[in-house]
Amino acid sequence: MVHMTDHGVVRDIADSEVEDALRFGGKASGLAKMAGAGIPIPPAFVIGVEGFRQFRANGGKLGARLLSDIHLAIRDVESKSGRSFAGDDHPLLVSVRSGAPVSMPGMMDTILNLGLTPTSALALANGAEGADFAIDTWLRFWRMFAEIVLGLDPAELLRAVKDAESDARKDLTLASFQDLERAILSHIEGEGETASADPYRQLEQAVEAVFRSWDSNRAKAYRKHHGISDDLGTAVTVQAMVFGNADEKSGSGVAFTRNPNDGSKTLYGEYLIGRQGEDLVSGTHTPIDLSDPGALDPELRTAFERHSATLEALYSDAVDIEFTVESGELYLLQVRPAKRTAAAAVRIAEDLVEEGLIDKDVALSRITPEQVRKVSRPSFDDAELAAAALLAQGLGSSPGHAQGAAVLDADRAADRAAAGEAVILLRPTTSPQDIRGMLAASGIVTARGGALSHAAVVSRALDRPCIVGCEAIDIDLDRRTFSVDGRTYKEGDRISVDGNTGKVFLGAIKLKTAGQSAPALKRILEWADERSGASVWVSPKSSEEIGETTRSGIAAGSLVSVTDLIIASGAIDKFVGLTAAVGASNPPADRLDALRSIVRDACIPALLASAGGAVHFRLPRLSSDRARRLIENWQELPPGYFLPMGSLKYLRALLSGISAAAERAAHPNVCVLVGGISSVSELAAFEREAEKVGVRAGAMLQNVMSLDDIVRSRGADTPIWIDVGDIVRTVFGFPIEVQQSLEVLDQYVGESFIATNPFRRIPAYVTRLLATSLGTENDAMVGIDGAAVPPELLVEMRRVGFRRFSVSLGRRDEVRFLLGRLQQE
Amino acid sequence: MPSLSEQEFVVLNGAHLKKMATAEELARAVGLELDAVEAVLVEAEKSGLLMAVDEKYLLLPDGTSAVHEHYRSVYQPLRSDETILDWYDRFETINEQFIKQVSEWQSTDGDARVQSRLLKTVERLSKNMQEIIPLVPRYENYVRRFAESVARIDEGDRDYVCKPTIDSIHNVWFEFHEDILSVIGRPRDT
Repeated sequence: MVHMTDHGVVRDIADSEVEDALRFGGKASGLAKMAGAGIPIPPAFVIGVEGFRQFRANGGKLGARLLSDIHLAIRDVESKSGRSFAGDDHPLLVSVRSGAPVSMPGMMDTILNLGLTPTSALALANGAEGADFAIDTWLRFWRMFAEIVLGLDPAELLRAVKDAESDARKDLTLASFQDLERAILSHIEGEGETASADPYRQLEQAVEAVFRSWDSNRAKAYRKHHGISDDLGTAVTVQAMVFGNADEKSGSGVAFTRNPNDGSKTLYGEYLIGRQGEDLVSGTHTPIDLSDPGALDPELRTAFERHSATLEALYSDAVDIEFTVESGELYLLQVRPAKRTAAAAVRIAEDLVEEGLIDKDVALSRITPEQVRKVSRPSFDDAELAAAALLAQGLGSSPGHAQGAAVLDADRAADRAAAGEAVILLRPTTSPQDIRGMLAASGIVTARGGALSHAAVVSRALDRPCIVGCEAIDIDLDRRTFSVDGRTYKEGDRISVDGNTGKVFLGAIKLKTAGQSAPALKRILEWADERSGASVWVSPKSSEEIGETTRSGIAAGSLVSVTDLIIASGAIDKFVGLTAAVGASNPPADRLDALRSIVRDACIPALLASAGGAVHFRLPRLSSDRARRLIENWQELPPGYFLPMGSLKYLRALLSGISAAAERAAHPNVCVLVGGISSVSELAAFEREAEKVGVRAGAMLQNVMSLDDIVRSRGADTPIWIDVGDIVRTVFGFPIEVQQSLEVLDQYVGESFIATNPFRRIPAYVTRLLATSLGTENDAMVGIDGAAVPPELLVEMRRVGFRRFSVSLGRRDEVRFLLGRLQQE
Repeated sequence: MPSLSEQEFVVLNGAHLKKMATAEELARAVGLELDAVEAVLVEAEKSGLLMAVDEKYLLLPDGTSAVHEHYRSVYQPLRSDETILDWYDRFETINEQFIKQVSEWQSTDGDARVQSRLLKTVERLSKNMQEIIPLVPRYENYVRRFAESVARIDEGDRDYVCKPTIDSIHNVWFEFHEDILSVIGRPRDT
């Protein structure tokens, strides 16, 4: 090309130098790469960031040289597209977009359809596209121009020209089209702005608006925050518009190189023959389904398959594609990494590794912790679901399964949830006033409202299963009842909700951890384990959870609290009574025997469920906050009782109960952990006691003193766990309540009283203590009990050198994933 | 029931819209000094208009009535004022657009293009609000809160789009909507 010299500021998009994003911006660079790879894109040119600098040096105006280059580039696009810009017939319309080397907020959005005049709009109206299309296209340009270039309210513009618009639609004459344009220009002038009827002048204004938007308040604030130079500047891309409604050999659509719902490798998407892309979005016409192999013209299908492979190689990822076919010619308008569901993200990452497009580390970086959480979240037990009675059908508006007591008021829901009960908030509709209940509920159901209602929006943000618009449910707030088909139910009756299908069931359907049913996730997590070198144990709340862990087939142990097992067995009241009685006086032997039986009976099911996998028991600790709450006359117990080895009789009863359980379950891999100790000699004494009854001994470290020498001086095969939550909490002297509501500390941080929440970012002082206690080796026998701290803190513990962790069953997959991702840093 | 002073109203209305909020959160939301807000809260607690749970304030039925009563009496003239009623009719269009965009933002996992359109809509509302701020000067606070939340989002903290527990734009928008409905005396739809 004669006019686009090698060192010019204005370049053809297919110029290979345009791939340099620093000089021509990210958007143009992407288009240039596509053009270079043989992907058909509409003709376009780019004004490089050097043009921005000239604009700035020229006092915020386009200079004569730049203007003439732009005009020459337009000539070039005219000849490539066979259309004429600002001409009377067969008009060339263009889009104008900003494109900085670094994308940032506050920059000018796209302007579409620039280039029409009353004459050419009328020509369009009389062509195959039809009058409505011509007027819609034209008004869309003015709407965008008014809003983006001139800063006016587009809705007001449309209102102001309504009469002229309807006249033009009724009366297809040059006069009525000119009247419409005059009405538009006069509204703009009335608002104190100026616009021209000349498309060349409009193009200049649009380009200037892009350059000016570089200095918008939001863009400046963003650059300042991210330390980006104000002189970097932005490029502008001007591209020919193509029309899917030109004739019957035209159309437009959206294609995905892989199915975005399940990730399978099949072309997916929609194509509307003879229509523009907007018709697809508005849903007014029924499109062709691209996944149907016979649905597309074979030539077009072949082209898609070829381009899909090229683009996936270019992006190393699945992509979605906006495309238009104009008179049989395929154009790809926009390509970007495809949006996908959590399940698809996991599957696509796995497949791309198999196909050699990415390596395992990249695969892990393509998935978010949230997606892992979604794929591994609990789902209904299949058999129970099949037998469940449907109560009502609504609109599933936030996915997931949940069950609990139906509660009709947000405050009561919050109170019942705080008492440990699973609740479903059931409301006629929700408002911001219900937020407390929505936060506390496991799921949300409303009788009214649609997919855009408050309940739907907020529950998606909270990631809570939600069903809206259950019109069949009639709620009586005063009586605290709800009825369906003439049958009445009370508040507190159990219901189950499936946020995917919108079904509400009567009764509580059992939930099972889902993750392991997704084979792709299983692979991804295996890679994460390889990368992290860590083993993630489960801290189960009950024998059922141990069973679930065993069935998931992941080789890791269980770290279980004996008190939790006793609670699950229903004997906690009796156990607490005996514990207090044993401490209060010289205990009679029968009481100790009773204690021993309770412990044995509670531990047997856990050991059976573990099927021989390692089980580490945390002994009840009488100085704990839980004991203080559970034991009524706690403060009357003798102080010595609160020391780890303070009551040998009590300790022996517990140990012998566990030993009896191990024997009964024929379990070879049991260890008992003493809590609260501070010195190696306490551990040695405990080990002697455990040895007497033939069980292995270990310790749960909960205070800073214990970090001094226990880890390094213990026997090499003595398991040690560190309750990192307790360590942080006691270093700070926080009460347990603060640790249990992390938001309180987040808020404290938000008010700048302290710099960081230590349960999210562990202070350097504590990190040093832990690192020193561990010594230099990655000791596989030293674990971090992380059931009570957020996952990000465990990532830090891995960095310190720990390789064994224990978390709740529901969080295990997420933690394994996060630990594996750490390697990339 | 004694009627509320403007300052009392502003604070209690903040609590009314937020349901449960700390004094700090309220001070930030209504744009008053913490001392002033605390003084109002202490008095209101004494006279049984609100209660504190874990340092968060929530209105009692008497407090809610007092807030509603203030809306009724102070904004009576506005309930037949063409400027604000016309403005509200136009707001409904932009409101619908906003809610659709939030929903689309969520269903696309925070798509960048959707987010940019959504923030444009917020900027549009902030601009339009200038027309009614002469009538309800305290609405300046919503403009400020929108700008602060938009800045957070621009800095990459996407929680400020619609997380319900912080001053996300969705929350600010909802509070404003409830507020203006009370001003012009209309009930809220679902």
